[in-house]
Amino acid sequence: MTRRRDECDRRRRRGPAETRWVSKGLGAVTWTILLFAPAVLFAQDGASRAAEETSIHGGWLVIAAYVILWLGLFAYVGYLGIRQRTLDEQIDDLERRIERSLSDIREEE
Amino acid sequence: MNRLVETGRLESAHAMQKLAEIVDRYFPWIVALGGLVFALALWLSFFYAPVDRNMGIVQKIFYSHVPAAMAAYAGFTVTSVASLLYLVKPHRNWDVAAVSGAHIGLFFCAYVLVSGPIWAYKAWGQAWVWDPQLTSTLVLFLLYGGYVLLRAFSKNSERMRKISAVLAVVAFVDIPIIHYSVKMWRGNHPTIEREGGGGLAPAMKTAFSTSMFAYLLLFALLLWLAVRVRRLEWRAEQLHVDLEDAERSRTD
Repeated sequence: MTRRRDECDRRRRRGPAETRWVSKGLGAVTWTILLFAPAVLFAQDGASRAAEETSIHGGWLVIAAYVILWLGLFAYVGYLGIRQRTLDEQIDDLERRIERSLSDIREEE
Repeated sequence: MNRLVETGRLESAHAMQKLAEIVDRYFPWIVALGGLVFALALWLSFFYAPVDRNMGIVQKIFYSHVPAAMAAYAGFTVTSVASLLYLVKPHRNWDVAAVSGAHIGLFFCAYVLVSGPIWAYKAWGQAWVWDPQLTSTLVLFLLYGGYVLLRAFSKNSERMRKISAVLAVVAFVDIPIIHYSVKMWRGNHPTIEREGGGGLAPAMKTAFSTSMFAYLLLFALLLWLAVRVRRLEWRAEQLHVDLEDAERSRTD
C-alpha cells in the first residue's frame, strides 16, 4: 500500500508537469507569432484582388485565425491539466479510504 | 486490481502502463521537437512561402486550415477504428482511445469551421455558403459532437459505450464524402492538390508539408494527454467500486 501511495505521489507530481511542458512549448511559439507575425503580414500584403473586396485587411483576418487557434489550444491544455490534477487528488483520496477500510477489516478479523 | 486479474485483463493493463511510462520519460523531448517543428512551420508559412497573387495575405490561413482538417480526420479515424475494435473486443482501452480521439478531432474540426469562413470572407466576399464540402464538414462536426455529448451525458454502462461505438463507426462514412464532395457535386471550395487542382509552388509546398507534420505532431501530443486523463477517470471509477466492495465487506 505504501508503494502504491508513493507511486500515486510520483504520478501526481509528474502528471501536471506534462501539461506544463506542452504549455511552455505553446507559449514559446505564441511569443514568436506575437513578435513577428503582424509586421510580416502587413508588409507582405501587396496589391491583391481579394483585398479590395472587403473592408477588413487580410492581415487582421490571418491574425484572428491564428489567435483563435492558440487560444483554443491553451484553453484545452489548461482544461486537461486541471482535470488531471483533480483526478490525481481524487484517486489519492480513494486509495487512502480503501486502505483504511481494508485495515479495519484486518483488525476486526 | 483483483477485478483485472479475474477478467484476464492484467496483461493488457500492464502493457498500457509500460507504454505510458516510456512515453512519459521522453515526453519533454517530444514536446521540444513539436515546438521546433511548429516554429519552423510558422517561419516557412510567413517568411518563406510567397504571398498568393490572387488572394493576397489571407491565403496564409491555408497553412493552418488544411493541416487542422487533417488532424480532425485523424482524430475521427482514431475514434472510429477504436470503436470498431471495442465492438469486436470490448476492452476499456479502446473506449478510452475512441473518446479521446473524438475530443481532439472535434477541437480541430471546430477550428476548421472557424478558420474556413474567415478565409472565405475575404476570398469569396461572404463567410459561409452552403457548399457541399462546407456542409458535409458541418455535418461531421454535428455527428461527432453528438457522440461526445452522448458520452458526456449518458450513464457510463457497457450498453451505452457500444451504442456510441456504433454511432462513431457510422459517422466515419462522412469523411470520404467530405473529401470527394468537390469532385462529386462541384462546389466552390478550392482544390489545390487533389482532384485536378493546379498544385502549389515549391516554396508553398515546403511550408504546407512542414505545417502538416507540425499539426499531426500536435494532434499526437494532445491525444496522448487526453488518453492519460481518460485513463485516470477510468481508474477513479474502478476505485469507487473497490471502495464500495471494501465498505460492504466491512459491514458484513
